[in-house]
Amino acid sequence: MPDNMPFIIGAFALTWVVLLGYLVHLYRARRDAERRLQQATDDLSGGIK
Amino acid sequence: MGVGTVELSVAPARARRSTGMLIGLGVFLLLAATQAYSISISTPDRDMGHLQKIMYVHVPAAWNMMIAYFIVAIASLRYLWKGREKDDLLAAAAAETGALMTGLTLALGMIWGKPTWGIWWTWDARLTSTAVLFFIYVGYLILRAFVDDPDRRAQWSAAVGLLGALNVPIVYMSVRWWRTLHQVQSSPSTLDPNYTLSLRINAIAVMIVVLFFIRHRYQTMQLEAAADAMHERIALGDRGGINA
Amino acid sequence: MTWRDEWRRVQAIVWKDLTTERRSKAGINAVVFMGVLILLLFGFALGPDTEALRAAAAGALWLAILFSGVLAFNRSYQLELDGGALESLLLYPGSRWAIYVGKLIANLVFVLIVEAIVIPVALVLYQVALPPGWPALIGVTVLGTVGFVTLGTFYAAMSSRSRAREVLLPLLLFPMLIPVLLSAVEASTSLLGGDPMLEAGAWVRLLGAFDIIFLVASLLAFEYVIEV
Repeated sequence: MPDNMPFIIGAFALTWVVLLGYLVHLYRARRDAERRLQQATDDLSGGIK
Repeated sequence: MGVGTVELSVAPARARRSTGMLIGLGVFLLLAATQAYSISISTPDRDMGHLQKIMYVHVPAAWNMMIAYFIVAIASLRYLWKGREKDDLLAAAAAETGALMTGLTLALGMIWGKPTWGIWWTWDARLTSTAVLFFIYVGYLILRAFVDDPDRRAQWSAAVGLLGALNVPIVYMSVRWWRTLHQVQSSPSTLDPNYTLSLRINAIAVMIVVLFFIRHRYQTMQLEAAADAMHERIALGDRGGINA
Repeated sequence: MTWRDEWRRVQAIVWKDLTTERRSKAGINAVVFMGVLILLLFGFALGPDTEALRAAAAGALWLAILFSGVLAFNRSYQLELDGGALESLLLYPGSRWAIYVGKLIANLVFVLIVEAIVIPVALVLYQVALPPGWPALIGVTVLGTVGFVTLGTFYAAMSSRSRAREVLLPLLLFPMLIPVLLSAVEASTSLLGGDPMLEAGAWVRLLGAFDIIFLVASLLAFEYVIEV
């Protein structure tokens, strides 16, 4: 049985990199969306309030 | 137009993001715990040795990719039936996560295949049809990126998502006839009971991660849609007058 | 009665599209030329070895048909869009599926004409001798083409009206067509070899099932796609 350790570590590392990377992407997208929504809300009220 | 179907304001969204962060932390801790547990209790497999442990990430990714695509198909069908923007956004969120899990499944399959079969890639039925599935749903996401009008994007991507889902069994059958050398599908009955429990809890942990991703992306898309709708109202000259 | 009316609408659209093609001929010339060019390129890519070319003939031919035929579908809607004719077409009374069926038949005739020129060229270039059962090959070609055109006409209704339509159509269409490609190539290859394993029948059934499933699905979904 050859040493397969690099493959096993690689598989688990890849899984975590992909999942955490997507998580970071999700939070960024969420923050941008909130900023855009805030801006739109401000624009829409147009200082009349 | 899709204007006004999604009404959201910022403050509750911020609060939901904080809750979401906490849930996310919990979800990933759970995944880490199930993986640590499975690795610690599993003994080397008779044929595969420690390589068998890759199964704990590969198989859950594959199962959950199917769950994500199931959500795409159901949400697309519901959108065409009821015409609610929310269903379209749910389908899009699930397609994105599904494509991610498909890519991960393929990559993990390759990492497992190299030491087991001695090759990174083989043209067998499940591997090849998974790759086709990946391309069908990447096409779906590219279509969404290339269409700006929300109604048009929703109708079109619902149709493309449904046709794609319809094609999955046909692709699988055709590729299966074409060539088969993959081992029999991993199901609890062909597995050592030692591995069954580990596989199940890992699959559930990954499922929770996937559902968390979909929910989070879905909420973000609702915020984006609400912001777009507001910008459209501004562009049309509506500044919160009588008709607001 | 209504069925007869719908059928007359279908005929009118087929006639209109084919007349446009016949009058310009630019489209069909370009697509045929493209198909032959791809055959030639495959010849260069696979080398001059006759045996290798013969073995790959069915695959190369089908790829040439797919890559050249895909150019025709966007065009079929583009001509309408340029003249603002699609809106008028949608304003006419009658079902939306009649527009789809009309365009489908027109595209089918178009691609079959292209094939009538490209296939003989492929037989000559790749030095393939026709087996005794060649009428079955025509059947396989027609079934494969129906599947190709069914989805091509459907997806082009979207891609032709989006940004980056030249890229979008093949990206959406080709992954969906893999069952058609596989079964058409496998059936043609085994028929060209005299079908020694009698396996062509299963592939032909798969092609037929694919055609029926996606014809029905496209008919149902076309209304949602064209109305926005």
